[in-house]
Amino acid sequence: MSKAIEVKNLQVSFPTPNGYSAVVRGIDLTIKPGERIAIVGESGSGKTMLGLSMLGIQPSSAKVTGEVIIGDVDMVSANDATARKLRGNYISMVFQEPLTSLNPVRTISSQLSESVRRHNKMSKAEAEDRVLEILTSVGIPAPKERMKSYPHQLSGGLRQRVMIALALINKPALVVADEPTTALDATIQAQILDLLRSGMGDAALMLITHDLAVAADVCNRIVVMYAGNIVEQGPVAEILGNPRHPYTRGLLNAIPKFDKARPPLMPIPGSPPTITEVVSGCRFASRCSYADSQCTASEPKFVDNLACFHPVVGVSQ
Amino acid sequence: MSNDNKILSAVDLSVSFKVSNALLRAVDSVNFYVNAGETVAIVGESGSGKTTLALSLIRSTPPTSGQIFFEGEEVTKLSEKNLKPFRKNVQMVFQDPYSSLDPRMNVGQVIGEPLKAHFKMSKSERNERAAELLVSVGLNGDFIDRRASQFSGGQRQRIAIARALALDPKVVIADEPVSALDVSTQAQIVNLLQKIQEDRNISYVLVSHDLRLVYHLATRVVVMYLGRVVEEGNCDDVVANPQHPYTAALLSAVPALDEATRRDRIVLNGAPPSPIARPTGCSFHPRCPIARPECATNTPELQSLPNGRKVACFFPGELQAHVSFTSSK
Repeated sequence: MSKAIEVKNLQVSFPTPNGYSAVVRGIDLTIKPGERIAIVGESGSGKTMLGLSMLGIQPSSAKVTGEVIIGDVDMVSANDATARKLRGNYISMVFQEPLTSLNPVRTISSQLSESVRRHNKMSKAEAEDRVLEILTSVGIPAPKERMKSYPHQLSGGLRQRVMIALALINKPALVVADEPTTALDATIQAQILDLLRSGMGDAALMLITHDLAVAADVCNRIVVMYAGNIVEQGPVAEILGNPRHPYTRGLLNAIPKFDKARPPLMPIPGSPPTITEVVSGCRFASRCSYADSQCTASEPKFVDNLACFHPVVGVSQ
Repeated sequence: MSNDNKILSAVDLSVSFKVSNALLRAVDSVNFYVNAGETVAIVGESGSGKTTLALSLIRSTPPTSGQIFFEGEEVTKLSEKNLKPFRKNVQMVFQDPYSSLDPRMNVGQVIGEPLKAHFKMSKSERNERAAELLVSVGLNGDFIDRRASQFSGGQRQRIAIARALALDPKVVIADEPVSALDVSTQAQIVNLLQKIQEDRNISYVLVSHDLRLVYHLATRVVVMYLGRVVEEGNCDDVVANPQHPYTAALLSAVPALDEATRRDRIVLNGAPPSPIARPTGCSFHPRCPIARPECATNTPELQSLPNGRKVACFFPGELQAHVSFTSSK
């Protein structure tokens, strides 16, 4: 499939005592075929809910509006049968914790071949050939033996490779990976980042992460979310070298670096608004050193890849 | 660096656990010290023994053999009663502030508990001291009446730090103190830890997997692999010129903001083996990109190099990592 995936005005809300409150606040996003984009944000930014709702697997209490166009189908309005067909075939997901995402009482082979046969007319033997092929392509050593293993018999890194294999097995257009390396050790994380960067075949990748460095390591494009909105997006070099949104710049300044002078870290004061908090104007204004009366009076629109009245100028260090 | 500057040290320390019928050597003959006012980091992956070493240093996990010294006095075998001065002086901050604070206590009780255990202080005295400590970690003194569950992760970690400081300790051991927190909050806690050190001349033992954080906070670093120290030295030296191939690989694995680091990345094969079935010879040899046949049979000793550096490798310095240094004006 060589069509872009389009997210249009996607909104995800949850019931609160004072009515529905949005955690994803009207997101527009286009993901081109084979592109690797990162959704970067902190807890509560709505990045995970964005990913889940694109697959139609958000919690049942959530209300989703807008469109997620995959191929010619809108995932948001699709019925269950259509959505199930799209999931796996066109869009799939890799979760943070592979141990809880795999079935503990079934072998790797049985879980992966089920997924193949659910979407394709294939004999058992054909499906197993496909499983072997995909396990090999994600770098699992001795894949023939591993097919007979149960998830608990594999290390964390191998389990995450199996999860990625499961996501890729039906050749989807897009894989959504939510913090896929957060639970892994440093040297294992490096292996999985390599795989995500160069082992995904034709699939596009949407990497959800809190870590700008992980995003830069894997992706071509970075999308920064704050409190349910996209605040800035652009090519990796642009976002890192010349961040224009004060929040993006704040995130970069808050990370320790290999700098001999050890300049003090610059934290972002305060904390993001809670789900029930009513904010007027820019949702970052209360934490922003550039904010003025305009920022609290009205909410900046997302124009030219940025939602800010007072973009920061100058190259970041 | 004179010997008497060491405030907390371990000599030939081993910690083993019986696992079914096998022996798990979590910490194997480790020598460790932290000087007064200094920050030493212990880095390594799961199973490296870094947390067990930290717990053993506070005499929480008993060592199987070896000695622990605090201000020159051996504390390895002291009874709990005689340990009181040691307990007062060596405190711990844990990774997860959601599980390290008792949800049934209010903040005044959380911080006041060590004061109650060590000093005969009335409740009002304890609350007064707790409020002072809250202010010193950047929180409102009025918070003593609230429960920890009412606070965010960053605020909870500040409360945990206030509790660790309650007895005015000389050493604080912090096990991944910011890894459960959001990026913007991490920086707040890191800066707080630095300010506390400046104000109180406290020593830190920082257990962390984040090498950028280690570089930022620590003066010295100890790298562990499968229970043993494989390299140690000043942070500047170790990061600029790692001697052990595992250190080089760890540095190379740090997610990078620049292209060059990614291109030249050293990616190790496989995962660390189980500490129960440690490989023969050098434990790292099955994953080592520069291993030779002798590495599988002979075990490299931790040998001293100039400038306080140590390395356990037959081919020190051979494998180098590309590290993206930045420089601020």
